[in-house]
Amino acid sequence: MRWGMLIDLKKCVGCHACTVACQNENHLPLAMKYCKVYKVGPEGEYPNLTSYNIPIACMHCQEAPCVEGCPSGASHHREDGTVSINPKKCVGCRFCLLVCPYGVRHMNKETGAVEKCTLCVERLETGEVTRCTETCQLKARHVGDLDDPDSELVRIIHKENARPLYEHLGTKPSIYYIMP
Amino acid sequence: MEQKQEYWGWLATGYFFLAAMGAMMAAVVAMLDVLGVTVIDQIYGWVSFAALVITGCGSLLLMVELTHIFRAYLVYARPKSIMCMGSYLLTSFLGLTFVYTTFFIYFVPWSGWVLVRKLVAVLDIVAALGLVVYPGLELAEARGRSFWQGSGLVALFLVSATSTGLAGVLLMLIFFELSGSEYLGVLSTLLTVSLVLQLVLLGSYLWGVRLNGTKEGRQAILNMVKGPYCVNFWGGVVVLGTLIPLGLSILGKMVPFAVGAAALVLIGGLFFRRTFLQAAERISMPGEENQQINDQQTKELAAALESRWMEKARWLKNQCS
Repeated sequence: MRWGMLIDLKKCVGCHACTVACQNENHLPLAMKYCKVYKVGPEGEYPNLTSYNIPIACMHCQEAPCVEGCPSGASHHREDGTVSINPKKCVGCRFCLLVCPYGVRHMNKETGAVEKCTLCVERLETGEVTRCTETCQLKARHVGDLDDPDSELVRIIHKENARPLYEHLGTKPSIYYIMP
Repeated sequence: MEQKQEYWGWLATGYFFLAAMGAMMAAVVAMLDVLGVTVIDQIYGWVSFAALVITGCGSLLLMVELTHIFRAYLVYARPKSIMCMGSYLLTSFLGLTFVYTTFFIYFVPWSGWVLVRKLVAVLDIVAALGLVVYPGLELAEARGRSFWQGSGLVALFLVSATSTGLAGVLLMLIFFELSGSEYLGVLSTLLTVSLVLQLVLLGSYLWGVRLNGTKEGRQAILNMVKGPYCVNFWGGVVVLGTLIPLGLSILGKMVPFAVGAAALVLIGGLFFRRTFLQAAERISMPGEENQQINDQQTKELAAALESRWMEKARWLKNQCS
């Protein structure tokens, strides 16, 4: 069992609803975003121009530098493949912030612990989808089991040749993107 | 788009600097002791004690950097992590240096056990070298910061630490009025060699990253050479920290030159670590450079909105009551 997500960038319109829904779900302050949406482009030269939006959150890497580097074991892999943080073990050394190539971790100054997207594992365990997936009006997000070859998620990944972001870094992310 | 590495600042810089300086000071005297050099043996204990204090101060900076200082013991919890290995090395070094220092306290029963002292000195050298080398390995773990991925980073940290360690020992020799000893000249020469090596390694490291590195690596070098860190780099690392002390060391072995060179080498060592820590940008996410407002501005906007909402809530409350 390994939870993963697919984001179809052909469908994402950059409405930021996922960002707001995530903030709402996790009771985040306005300035803290587990999921950011960046606007790429316009790129290229007329008439071959392209522009798209890309949501970026924790990639739940299988070879996560944050997990490998965490000295206290606060950042760890759950059995379902997601990367989780135990706030009671976090010493606040910020090494995970330093080594995460995606820049998706945040230091919560109130708790003194690092936080990030949890892939809404509590919701997934009860059969619901993640809050961002539920909120996305364009159905640009799909969540499922990457270890199940018959799951819809894996089927679409193969069909659309979806790839993770910055695969060359060797972190083996669990979030896949269908590029526009 | 991230313009600099903003997570580890002056505290981490201070720790890396003090730990490197202390470790190499201890390593230098331990090596002299193991080799049987007796000319300056009256200060071995003092240098070792100074190394202990300096590295201890560095460790305190590291502790202050943690947001949960009372959970600091947890940094030993996961030995596979490079940071955890660093913690074990630091603790081993502090312990061994403490034990080594005790051999020079005359009333301690084991002060005459020369063989045991030399064995502890060898272990201390190993721990010191590990402590000096591991920051290079630690930084190389940041896969998204290609500036730290160069193969020469560990060597550069080692040579810089050697320079600062030698400078520390030189200053102590002069402090204990041993400037007439032949070892002042030997240490000065070693410092000159170390500075030349540092200059060559620094140049080749930056050149190598510029040629082989990614966009972020090249940008980090541009930031150092021409950008926001150029004053620290050219002024602090190259001119003050390397070229002037090199000139002073070559000019003569007189005490004022040696003091000046050693003090400047220490300043250079601090700037070297500061610049190298700060300059390493993270790989940019697609579109990250298009972000209209940065994180700081978002925080300010959010704080302003919260304050306005609170004001509105108070107004509504007054209207209702």
